[in-house]
Amino acid sequence: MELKEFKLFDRLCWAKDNLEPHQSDYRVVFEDNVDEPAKVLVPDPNWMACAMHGGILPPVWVYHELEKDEKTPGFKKHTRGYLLHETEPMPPMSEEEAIEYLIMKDIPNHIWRTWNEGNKPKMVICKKEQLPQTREWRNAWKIDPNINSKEAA
Amino acid sequence: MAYGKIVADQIQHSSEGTVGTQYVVSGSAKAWNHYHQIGTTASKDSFNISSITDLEVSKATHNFTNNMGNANYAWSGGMTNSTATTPAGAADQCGVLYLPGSHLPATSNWTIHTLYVSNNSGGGGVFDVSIVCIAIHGDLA
Repeated sequence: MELKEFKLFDRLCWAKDNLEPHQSDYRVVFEDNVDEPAKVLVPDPNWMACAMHGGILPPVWVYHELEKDEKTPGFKKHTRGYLLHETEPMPPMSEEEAIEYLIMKDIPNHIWRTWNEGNKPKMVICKKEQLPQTREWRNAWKIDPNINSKEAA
Repeated sequence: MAYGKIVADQIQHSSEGTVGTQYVVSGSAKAWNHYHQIGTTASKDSFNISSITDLEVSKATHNFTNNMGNANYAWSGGMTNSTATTPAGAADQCGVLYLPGSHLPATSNWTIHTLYVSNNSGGGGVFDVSIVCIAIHGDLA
């Protein structure tokens, strides 16, 4: 059998045993509400290894379909979990492609779809060295309003 | 590379009896994460987690790679602190994992607060800790 013929959870089990975790230096900072501090998305090293290996993760649209199902009034449990398991998995991704995929998977779509609309970018991809190195004033972290959108992109 | 598959309804030990594979499947943790909140939040090791979203002091969302089947899963965890960030006067603290009402569990993610409670003062509050370990049990999508 080929790896893609297994269910997603079994593919993750295989990856845990066989792939070396990849600790990415990329972080995604985003703002969802002006009254809340900036949020920081941190890629998981085991997940990143799966993304870069290929043949494990489903296409990101699968997660969007499941999200739609969950938002349906009266939702009790998923009935289309087969989409995770039976959809042709993604081919190997570069680290940058994996971050783009992760943004679309784990950041609310109203943020990444309109990240550059408004007075300042709502989302910035950066390296972890560009973040404050201590958590002092963590609840006051904001995206710099002077950042230009080309830098943010 | 070959990927083997064994299909069985039961697993039998040579002397200790038999257990249905469904017990193993249902009883295994479906996701776990060992992470820290010092400096930049990051996982030290994990399973079935695609990312952590650091929301604010002490609060983090764990995003699943394989969604849970429903939002009624069980969670457990613990934490410890070995850094100078321990709140003053809280040497007798105990740590508490708290599910914020503003972020109810979803099939795709789960959000948790780390808090401390002081035995002496009766006070408490949110704080970042050096080790948090969580596990999720339930049905997968």
